[in-house]
Amino acid sequence: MVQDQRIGPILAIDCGTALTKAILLDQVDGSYHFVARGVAMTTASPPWNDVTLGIQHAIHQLEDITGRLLLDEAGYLILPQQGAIQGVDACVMVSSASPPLRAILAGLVPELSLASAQRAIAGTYTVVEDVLVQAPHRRLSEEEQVRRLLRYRPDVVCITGGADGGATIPVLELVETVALACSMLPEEERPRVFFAGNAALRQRVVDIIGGQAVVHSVDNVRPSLEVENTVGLRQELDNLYRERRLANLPGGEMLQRWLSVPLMSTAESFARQIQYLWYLDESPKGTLGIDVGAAHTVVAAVFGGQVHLTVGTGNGIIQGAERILERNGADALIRWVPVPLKPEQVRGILVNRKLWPTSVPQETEELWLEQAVVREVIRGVLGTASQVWKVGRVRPYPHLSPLFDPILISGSALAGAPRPGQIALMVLDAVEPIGVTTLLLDLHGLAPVLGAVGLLKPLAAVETVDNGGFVNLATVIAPVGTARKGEIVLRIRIHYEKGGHLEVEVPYGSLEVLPLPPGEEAVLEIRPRGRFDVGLGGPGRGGKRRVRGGLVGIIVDARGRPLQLPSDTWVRMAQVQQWLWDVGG
Amino acid sequence: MRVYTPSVVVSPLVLIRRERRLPAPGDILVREGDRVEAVQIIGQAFVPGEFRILNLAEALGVSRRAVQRYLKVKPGQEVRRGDVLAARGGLSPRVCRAPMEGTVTGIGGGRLILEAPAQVVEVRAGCPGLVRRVIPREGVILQVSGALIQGAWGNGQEEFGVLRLLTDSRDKPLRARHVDASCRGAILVAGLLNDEEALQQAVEIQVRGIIVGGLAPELLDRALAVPFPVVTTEGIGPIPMSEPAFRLLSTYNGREAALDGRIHQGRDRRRPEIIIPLPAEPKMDALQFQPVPLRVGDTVRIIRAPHRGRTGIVKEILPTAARGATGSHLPAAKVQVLGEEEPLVVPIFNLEVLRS
Repeated sequence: MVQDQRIGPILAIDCGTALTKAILLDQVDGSYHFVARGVAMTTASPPWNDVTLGIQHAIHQLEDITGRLLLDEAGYLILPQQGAIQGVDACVMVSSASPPLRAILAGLVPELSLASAQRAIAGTYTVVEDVLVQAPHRRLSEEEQVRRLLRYRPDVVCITGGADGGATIPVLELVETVALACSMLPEEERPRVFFAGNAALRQRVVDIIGGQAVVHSVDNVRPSLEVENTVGLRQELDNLYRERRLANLPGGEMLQRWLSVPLMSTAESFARQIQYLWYLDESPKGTLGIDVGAAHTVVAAVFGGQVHLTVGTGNGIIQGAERILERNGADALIRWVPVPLKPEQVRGILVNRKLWPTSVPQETEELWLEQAVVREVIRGVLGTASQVWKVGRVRPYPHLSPLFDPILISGSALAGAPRPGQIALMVLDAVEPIGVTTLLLDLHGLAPVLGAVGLLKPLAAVETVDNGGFVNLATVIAPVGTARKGEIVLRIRIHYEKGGHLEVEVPYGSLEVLPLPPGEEAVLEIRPRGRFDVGLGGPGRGGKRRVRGGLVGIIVDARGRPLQLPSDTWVRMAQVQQWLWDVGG
Repeated sequence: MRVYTPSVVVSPLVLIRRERRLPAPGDILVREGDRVEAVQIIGQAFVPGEFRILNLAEALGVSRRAVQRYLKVKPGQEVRRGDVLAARGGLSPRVCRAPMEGTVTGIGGGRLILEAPAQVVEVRAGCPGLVRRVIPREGVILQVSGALIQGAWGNGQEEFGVLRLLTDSRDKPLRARHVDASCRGAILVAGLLNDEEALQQAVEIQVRGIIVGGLAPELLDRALAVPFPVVTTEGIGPIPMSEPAFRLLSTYNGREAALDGRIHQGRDRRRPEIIIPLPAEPKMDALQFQPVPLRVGDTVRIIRAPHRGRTGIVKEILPTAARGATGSHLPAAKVQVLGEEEPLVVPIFNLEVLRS
């Protein structure tokens, strides 16, 4: 391990499913800054089967941009720094390029222990292939259960069921079925078994399965009707992901020698960074981070310092698009597009997109469609994530989003949108924030790696953020309430720090952008009308807020919550187009 | 700045190595150095057969522990359908018989597992070539000399047959009237496919496969359901076949080809491909197409609309990001495309280098 105080330039690598990024952080006037980033195609798949190649390509770009020599003639990272412009002192890496774990869930009651297990799994890189239910009237025959276990050949079987000291017989029947299936598989293909059910049965579970597969007992995910404990199962799944996937990243052996801290999953690193953001001002609201990747979407929410991580495994813009088409149909995407598109056109565009995951749209209709996918994958993952949030008073309206400030947006699909207004609108449509919220944009893809950088040198992560690592995108004011369209629901007075002021009245149903460029500050005086709530103490209560300028400025989203799209196709398209114009998209 | 782009092979003569794996461990029937034909079986795998779990305790009406006393078979024993597996006498005698032929593979917990004999699955070479390496019990690596065209999309199937060019230009669609009885057993080549009737006619005539530039998106489901491989060289949409691919396929019209429409994305990304075996010794090994940064003079294919499927030569890599029609600012290159007076400015992310 490199001595913390001696560390100068740091190379941070983010190895994603489609793209690999190499990011250089270095000290300027004694404080860490983002210097530059190189991007290349990930080379984990055939014909290369070696992530090192993609990493070297990204580093080559970084060398070209910065003029700093980072790789020696043999392609190895120059460690530590030599002279002023050669090598780096440390290297960290995060990855989401490994395939997720494949799991089968087995349990008694879908609404109780199985739901809890699903929530535990949601925080990991795991795909649930099937759920075996052992409830009266819902159970499959043992033969069919075994057949499914053999068909999917999962990496892991998670058995839940029975409160502590509760049901025993149906749980043991499940355990016997899993043991039977394991006995029918070749030894090297047997799954790891996690038992997260009735704690009183642990020894018997080991006795039944122990001879057939490796079994780990963890805390019961549902020790009683009222209590849920997902920590143990989640940790075991994380450990297994590290052991079976991260450690086996193709070509990763050589990289291990470069790394100053162990290789970390992108989601884990991202969650650490969002937690740090919350601690920056210990926001009484929640802090939300969204990272949309090609294969996965990661949502990290922090309330009261506690981080809730949700990995939308397979719900990135490439793989997620296919799922949306299968589950919700093309209309779920078409509704966000301001031009007419046929379902088969949508499918054609998305199939091509999947064939070339690193390509970018050159036509506006393809751009709108990709942005529609972004909206839907975020909405889908947030739907799962919000089930595990323990938010308390931060969620004044149970059917709406909790109060968040700030919201950090990361990932090429979002940050790479051609216009800042498009990014802001995607977030508004997908998250539907309420109250006053700052949108931060991770323009350089730093958030997924800074958590790992923080493990190595906390100050480097802190200073990189302080020195403009994230860009202020916009301040959003989103009142909650109902009124007739066009009725004034909000009066806002902006006192610009540079002098002057602006007064606006905001009608219900509108989306307004008020000017406040980056680098400027202003005080907002917000006065909601009637029972409208802007998160400043309750319905009808206004107040003052000091805000900083952003790429878009101040957005007043008075479209109502939850957001309703017109049902008529042509009216809807005109409305979506209008919103895009309103935010400068 | 060095920018690496994906590459695609469209080569008239190259050394190709392909792994042929058995679906499960089995026996390899060829040896290293053997020359094999496309239809030759290179190995056979033993895929576990159907199984039954019989609850003997329930069938006999006894406790799980008591089942042992009434067993008439042992683990490992082969039984025929109707054979007695367990029987109990007394006032209410009960008998449990084998529901199928198979082997008793396990007895425990009051249950018995009966497995049908393993199914033998034969794997053919798929393409004539040389067995370069045998992976014991798992498969072989075949080496083939010939033309290689990597495609974009495939319907997951593979076949071997004679190429039959049905359109005289790369932008003409396959029509039902093209597909007559002489196409039976052939791999059809056409500019594009947007006619469901033509696809239906191909099914009825029993062709061995279809190669086109682009496939109309409304035919995707139909193309996935046909009993032969369909491969597009350019993707989904009304996209003509690229000039180099069409030229190669025209040149080798009438020759045998292996058409592999299997495709994976993500970690196991592989492209569909067409291999045309040739009796020549190539100088170039396909494995040697290592990624190199995009260069002026490279032949590239454009992979996104509005110019998807068009090929050209890189004239200039722009020093700064260029603004596209969507408003994005991206690294771009000027590409001289045949038939265009001025070079097209294309984001580098939307280029694929053609390796030959």
